[in-house]
Amino acid sequence: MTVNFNGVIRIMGILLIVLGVCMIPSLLVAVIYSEDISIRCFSLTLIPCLGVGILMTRIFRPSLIKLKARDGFLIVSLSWIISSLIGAVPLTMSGAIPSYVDSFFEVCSGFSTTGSTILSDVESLPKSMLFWRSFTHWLGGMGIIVFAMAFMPSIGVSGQLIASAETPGPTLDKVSPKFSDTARSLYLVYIFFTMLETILLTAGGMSLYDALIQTFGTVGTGGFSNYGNSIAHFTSPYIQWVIIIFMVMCGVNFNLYFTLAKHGPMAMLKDPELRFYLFIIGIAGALITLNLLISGGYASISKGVRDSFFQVTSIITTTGYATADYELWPTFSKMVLFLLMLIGACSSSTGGGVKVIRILISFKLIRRGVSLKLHPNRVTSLTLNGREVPQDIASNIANFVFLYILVIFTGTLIVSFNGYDIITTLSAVVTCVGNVGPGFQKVGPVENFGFFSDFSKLVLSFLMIAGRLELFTFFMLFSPRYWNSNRA
Amino acid sequence: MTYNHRVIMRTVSVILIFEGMAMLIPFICAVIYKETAPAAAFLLFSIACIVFGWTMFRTLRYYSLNIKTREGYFVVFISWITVCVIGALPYAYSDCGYSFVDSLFESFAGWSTTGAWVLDVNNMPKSLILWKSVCNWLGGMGIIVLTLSIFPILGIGGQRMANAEVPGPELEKFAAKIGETAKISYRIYIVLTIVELAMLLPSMSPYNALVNTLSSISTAGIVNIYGGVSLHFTPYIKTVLVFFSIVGSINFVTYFYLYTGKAKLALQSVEVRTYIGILASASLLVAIMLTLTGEHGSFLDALGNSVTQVVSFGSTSGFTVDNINTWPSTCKIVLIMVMIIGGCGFSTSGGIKVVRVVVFWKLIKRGGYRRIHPNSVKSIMIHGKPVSTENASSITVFLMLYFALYLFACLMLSLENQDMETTLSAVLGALTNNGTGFGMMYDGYYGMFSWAGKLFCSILMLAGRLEMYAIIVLFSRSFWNSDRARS
Repeated sequence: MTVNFNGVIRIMGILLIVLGVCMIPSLLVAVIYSEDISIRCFSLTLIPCLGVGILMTRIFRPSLIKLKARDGFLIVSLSWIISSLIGAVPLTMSGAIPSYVDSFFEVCSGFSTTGSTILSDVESLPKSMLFWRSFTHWLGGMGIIVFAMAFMPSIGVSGQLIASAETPGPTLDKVSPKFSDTARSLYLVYIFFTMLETILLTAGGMSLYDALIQTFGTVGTGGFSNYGNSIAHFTSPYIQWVIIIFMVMCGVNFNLYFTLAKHGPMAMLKDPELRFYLFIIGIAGALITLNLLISGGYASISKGVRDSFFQVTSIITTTGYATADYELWPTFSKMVLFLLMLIGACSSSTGGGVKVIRILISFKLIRRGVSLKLHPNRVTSLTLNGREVPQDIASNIANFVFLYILVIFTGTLIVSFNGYDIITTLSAVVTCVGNVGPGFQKVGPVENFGFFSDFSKLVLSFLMIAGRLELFTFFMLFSPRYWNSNRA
Repeated sequence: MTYNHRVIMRTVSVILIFEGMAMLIPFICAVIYKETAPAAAFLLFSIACIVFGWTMFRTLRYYSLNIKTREGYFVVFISWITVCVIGALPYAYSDCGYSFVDSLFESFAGWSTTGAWVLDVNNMPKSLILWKSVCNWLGGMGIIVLTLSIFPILGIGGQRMANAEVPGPELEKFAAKIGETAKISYRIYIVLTIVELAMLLPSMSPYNALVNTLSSISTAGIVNIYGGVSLHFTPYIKTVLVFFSIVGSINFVTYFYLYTGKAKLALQSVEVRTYIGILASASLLVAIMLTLTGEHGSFLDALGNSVTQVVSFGSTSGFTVDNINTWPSTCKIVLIMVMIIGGCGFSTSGGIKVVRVVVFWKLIKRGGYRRIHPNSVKSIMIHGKPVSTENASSITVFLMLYFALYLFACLMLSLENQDMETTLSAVLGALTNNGTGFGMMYDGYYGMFSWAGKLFCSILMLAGRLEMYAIIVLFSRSFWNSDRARS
C-alpha cells in the first residue's frame, strides 16, 4: 500500500485555488495604492493559479479510498513547499526582491511565521508586496490546510488526519466532532482576534495599513513589519502593550478559548500548560528587567519592564518583533532569550518552538527518572492535571525533543559550510527551526539574513517549514520506508 | 536521616589513606627538584591524611553491611568532594600565593579529568604539575573503583555503589563480585599506563613522560608545559598520545574480552565500532575543510592535525595542536559534536557516551517508524539483543537531564557576563570533562571567571564526571528523608 497519489493531487488543486483567492486582498491593496507593476504581477500569478487549481479538481475527482495518516504527511509538506514557491513569484516578478532564492526564503519565512528577513531596506518595497508578505503570516499562522478545511468542507477527505500533521502539539483536541467545524471555529476566533487588534491599534493612532501589517505579524506570531526597526518605530507605550498582550494571547492553546467561552475563565486557568506558559513569561520578564536595570544600562524602570516583557513575549511566542537591540543587552538576558527560543509557545497556537507542554512533560519525565534512580522498584506514572499521560504520548514527546536537538545540530553543521561564526550559525538555525525570526550576532534583531549564500538560505528555508510542521511531518518524506511500506 | 554513618566514614577513611599515599609521589618529585615549600606541604598533608585515615579506619568496627542505593549515591558524592577538597590543599599551601578557590578548581579539574586550568602552568612548581597529573590518573578510573578492589576484603558490599558511580549505562559482569571486575580493570589500566610510559620515555625526559602519560591515558588533556603542545611534540609523540587517548576512551569491557581470550567479541562491540567510525568520519570532514581553506598545507598535514584534534575532543581530553579559534566554522561544529558524544561507556572519558548516542539515534528512527505505523510494537536492538524498556527509559531521561542541565548551567554562568560563545563553551567543556572550547576557552583557561563562576564550574565538572545523578539526587526531597518518598 503506497501513497494515494490521486487524493494528494486533488488536494494540491484545492490548495492552488486557495492560494489564488488569498492573493486577492494584496491585489486590492495594489489597486488602492496604484502600484501598477504589482497589479500586473499579482494578476499574472493568481489567475493561472486559480485556473490550474480548478482544472486539477475537475480531473481528479474525490475517490472512495480514504486518505491515511501517511498521505497527510505528504499533503501537508507539499502544500507548504508549493505555497512558498508560488508565493515567491509576485515578489520576484515585480523586482521587489530580484533573486528568486531570496523571495523563496522570505515567503517561507512568511508562511512558517518565522519572520526572518533578507531585506536590508524594508521600507523601499511597494506597499502591496509588503502586504502580501505579511498576509502569508496570517495564513500560515493558523495553517493553510486548516483554512482549506474550514471553508471548503466538501473536499471529501479525512480532514482530521491531515490537519493533525499540520497543527502543532502532541495531541489535537477535538472541539467538535466534525473536523471542518473545528477548523471553522478556530478560524473564527482567529479572525476575531485579528479584527480586535486592528481596531485597538488604529485607536492608538496607527494608519489602517500599518495596523493590518502589524496585526498579521502578531496574530500569526510571525514578526514581519513594514518598518526597518520593527516595533521600535512605534514609540507609544500603548501600542507596544497592545502588541504584547495579543502576542501572549496568540501563543495560548486556541482550544482554551472555547473552554473560556463554555466554562469561564477559572476553567481556562486550570490548564497546566497555560499556567506554566504564564509562569515562564513572568519569571523571564522579571529576570531580564532586573538584569537590564542592574547591569544593562537602563535607567527608567517602566521602559525596562516594557522592553523586557516585549522581548520575552515576542521570543517565547516566536513572533520575533523587537523594540530594542537585545544584542546590546548583558549576556544573561541574551541567554534567557535563547532558552525562550527553544521553549516556544503553547501547543495548538500559532507559535513555534518545542512547545510548552512538551517542556513541561519533559521536566516531569526527568523528575520521575531521578526518583526511579533512588527507588528503583517504584511504580509510578506520569500525570498531567490529574489525568495520566499515556506512555506512547510521553515517548512521542521524548522522540520529538531528540529529533529537534538532532535537527539543530545537523542544520548548524550544514549552514556552517558558509563559514560564519558559531553563534551566528547556531542562532540562525535555532531561530528558523523554532520559527522565531531574529537570532544573535550577525542575525541579531537589527540585522538581516541577506549575507548567507543561496545554499544556506535554501537550507534555512526548509528548516523553517520543517519546524512549522513539527519536524516528523517533513522528515518522514526522506525515509524510504515511507514511500514503500513493503520495506517495513 | 537514616544513614549508615559507619560505612560512609569507613569509605572516607580508606580514601584518605590512598590520597595520602598518592601525595608521596609528588613529594619525591619536589625533593628531586628541590622545591622546599611544596615538598613540605606534600609531606605534611600526606602524613596527616594517612594518620587520620588509618585512625578512623581502625576505630570503626569491621562488619558486613548492605548499602542502600541512596547511601551509595551519598557515599560517592562525599568521597569525591573529600578527595577534591583535600587535593586542593597542596596547591594552596605551597607558598605560591594561589587562592583557595583557584586551588579547588585545579583539584576538581584534576580529579574529574577535565584538564582545565586557572593557574599559570609555566610558573607552577613541577611537583604541583605532577600532582595534577596524578589526580588525573587516579580520577580516571574513579576512586570508588579503586576502593572497590579493597572493599571486598573489608567485607562491605559494594554493588550498589558502583551503580552510582561508574560511568556508562550497562556494566557487564565478568566475575561474581563487583570487586573482581574493579581489580581487573585497574590492572589493565596500570598495564596500559606502563606501556605508554615506555613508549614516551625514549623521546622525553622522565618527568615529562610521566606527566604526559598520566594525563593522556586518563583522557584529561596534556599539560601545556611550554605553552603549546604543537611547539614541543614530535609527530611520534603526538601519535603515541593520540593512540593512548583512544585507548583510554574505549570501553574497558573490550579489554576484558581480550584479557579473557575472547578477541572476536571484542571486535563486535557496536559501541566501539561506532566510536571509531565517528572519529574517522569527523577527522575526514575536518581535514577536508582545513585543506579547502588552504592554511594547513597539504591534505596529509591537515589530516594529521585533524585526527589529533578530533581524537582530543572525542575522547574529551581537550588538548589543542593549534589555535582552534582560527579553524573554519564547520570544523568547530564537528569538534563540538564529537565532544558532546564523548567516549565509550566504562572508560576514562566524558561526554554523553557513545552507547547512549547509539540509542538516541535508534529512538529517533523508531519514533519516525511509529508515526507511520502507530500500532506497531518495536524494540530497539543492540548487539542483536533488545534493549529493555527500563534501560531505554533510563537513557532517555539521562539525555534529557543532560541537555536540561547544560542549558540551566549556561543560564547561571551567563551572569558572569562573558560573551555567548565563551559561556556556552565553558559550560560544555566542564560538563563533558573536555576542558577546552571556543571563544575565550580555546586553551582551557577558566581564569576569567569570578570565584563564584569557578566554584560553579568545579561542581559542573564533578557532575559531568559522576554522570549527574550523584549530584542531582541531592536536590531530591525523598533523598534526605526516605519517609517522604514522593514523586
